[in-house]
Amino acid sequence: MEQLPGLRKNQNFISLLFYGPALVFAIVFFIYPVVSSFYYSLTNWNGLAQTIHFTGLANFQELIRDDKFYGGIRNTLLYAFFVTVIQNIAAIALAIVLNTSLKTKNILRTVFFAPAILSALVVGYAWSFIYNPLFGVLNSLLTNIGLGGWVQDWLGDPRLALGSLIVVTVWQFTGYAMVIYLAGLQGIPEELYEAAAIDGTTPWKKFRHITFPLIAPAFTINVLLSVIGTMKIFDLIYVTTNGGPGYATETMTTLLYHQAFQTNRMGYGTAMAVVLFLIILVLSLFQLKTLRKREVVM
Amino acid sequence: MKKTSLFLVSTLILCILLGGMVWGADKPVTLKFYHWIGTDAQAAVAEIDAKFMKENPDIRVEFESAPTDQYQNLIKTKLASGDAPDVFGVHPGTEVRDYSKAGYLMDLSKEPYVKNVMDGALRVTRGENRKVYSIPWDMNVISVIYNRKIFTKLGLKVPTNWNQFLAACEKIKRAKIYPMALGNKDLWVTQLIPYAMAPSMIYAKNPEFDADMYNGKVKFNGAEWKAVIARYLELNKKGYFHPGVLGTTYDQTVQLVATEKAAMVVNGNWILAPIRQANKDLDLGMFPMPAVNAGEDPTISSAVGTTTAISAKTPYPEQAKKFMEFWMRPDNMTLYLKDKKAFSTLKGVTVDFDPAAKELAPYLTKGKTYPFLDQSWPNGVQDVFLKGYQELFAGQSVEKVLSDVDKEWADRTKK
Repeated sequence: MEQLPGLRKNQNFISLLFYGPALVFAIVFFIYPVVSSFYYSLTNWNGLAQTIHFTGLANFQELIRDDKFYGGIRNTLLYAFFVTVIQNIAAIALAIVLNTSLKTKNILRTVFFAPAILSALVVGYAWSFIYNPLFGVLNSLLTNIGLGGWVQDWLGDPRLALGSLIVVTVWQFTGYAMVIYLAGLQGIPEELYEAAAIDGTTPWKKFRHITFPLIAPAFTINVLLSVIGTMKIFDLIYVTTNGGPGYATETMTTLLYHQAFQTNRMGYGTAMAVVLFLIILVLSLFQLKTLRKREVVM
Repeated sequence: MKKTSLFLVSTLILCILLGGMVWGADKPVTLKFYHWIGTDAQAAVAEIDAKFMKENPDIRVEFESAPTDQYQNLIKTKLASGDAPDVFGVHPGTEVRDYSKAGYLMDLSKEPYVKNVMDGALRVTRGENRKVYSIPWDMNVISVIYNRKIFTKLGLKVPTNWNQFLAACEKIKRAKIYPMALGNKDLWVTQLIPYAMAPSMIYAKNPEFDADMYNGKVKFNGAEWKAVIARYLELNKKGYFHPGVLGTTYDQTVQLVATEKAAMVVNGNWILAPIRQANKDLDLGMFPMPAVNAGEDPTISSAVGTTTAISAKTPYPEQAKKFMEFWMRPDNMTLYLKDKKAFSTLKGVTVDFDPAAKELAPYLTKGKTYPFLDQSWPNGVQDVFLKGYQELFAGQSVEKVLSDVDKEWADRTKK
């Protein structure tokens, strides 16, 4: 049947009613700021003045010579790498254990997932107390069990601070990744394991050849989420170490925050943000491409 | 037809005009007053504003307070988006200069109360063309806050020079008490001991040190600052702080002093209030940081903490000026300073807000003072310096840290 042109027009109008408001919000609060930050990165705007001077690529030339910026990239990448690796290994292990018919599995699943629902600020303040060198729980625990020699200034020692933060993030989000893996595990048909049992495979081989390939989609999404999440980490660091001591835990986001909002160098700060954006973009595309390849279609 | 419509229109216009006049006479003007002082002096602000509204029924004051650490960003956003409050707080020094340059602040140089303000206090509220763009409301002092009971028990007198200070620390340490609490996890705390020492060690000898910095005659990476840093690190090396200085916050130093685990803390007078809140029975005293040789008088680090400005774009300039004048009346200032627990910027107004502060008052009236160092530095230099102090405590070399600050100074001052 031929459709009336008027009806189609009407349909377009109705669909506009639905996506229109969302589109307006997206443009005003997301697309416009993103596009304008590309522009600001080419200026020396201080965030205050009503006049803005266009300075071309000067900010990016300064970035190339900025040691602190490289330190920030290094810390961000180290943090992203270790959190992603440890968190995924731990989450797969937890998911496999909690996918068996343990009596307490529902309680345990909730317990492990619980930290993920806390805000980063709460987690940051709580761990600041745990790590505190004088009054902290961790140090008193170590002293009480006779490991007084292990007592450290966990967030105040520049060699330990980043590691301490990695532990916090892994603690917080392993349960979250675990839930995604659990969903993947429950999609694996039992017959595959039965067949493997008949063939007499070892548990490791079962994992290597059945479980792991079949939870690949969950693996892809978890790695991607954790890389993107860790690359833009800000709140946790802001409340625990604020980038310190010195520059030991300064990441790209804390650096750009300090430049843009504390030293009033909005132009330079947005230039950092643009670089961060590009790095995350490239990493995400690369990951999607490589990880998608090894997903198995069932 | 035409006539009736003309009549109707003119009646309408008349009504609007008359209505507007009546409306204008009745409706009070609303001043928006935005500040960070609500956190410490909420009661006094409310009382003074209420008094003002009672005396000026045609003006209403709407006060809004923001937390100190967020205030700077919030007001910046308001100013940049054209949503400036009529009267608002501005941090002294750099911020007054930046905002006046951007045209946000009203010139207040000719206001009658300005001549009653101490000259030293006005130094940090001058902006473009050396005009006064903001009014200083209170002064803070960085000094040593100490536990008198511990001092008496150990037979210690208030030290008046560096060697006596070290000797006192040593004696306290031997008594198994931390001589000083230091919360260097909080960036702003890292600078306080140098701020307390540099006025005596650098600026007493060369008051034009900062001007010389701008002219390139001296550098941070030179003998003067190295001596200051050396003393700071000496205190750490001799174990006169507690362990984990870089993991300790300001709040925890308050606890250390309040629970008498630490005998002293170098901080601003604002720390007295939270310490007393945690332990009201402490016998506290204050003395200037004795970073001097025997026989010399220390120069005290004292600076304007709070300044308040009027927006250059306020629709009610007269009312806003009236409001500011009201605040600057000695009786209102006394009320405010008692609650804020700070020293006065008005000549001849002494405020008795704490017995410990009383001990310091004579030094302030007879002694030399110098403002907090960063108030005359270019924006950004202090931030690098603060990070530098943490790096020093983490083992970085003095040369590297000071040359980093020099580099920042050079970057910030070149055009």
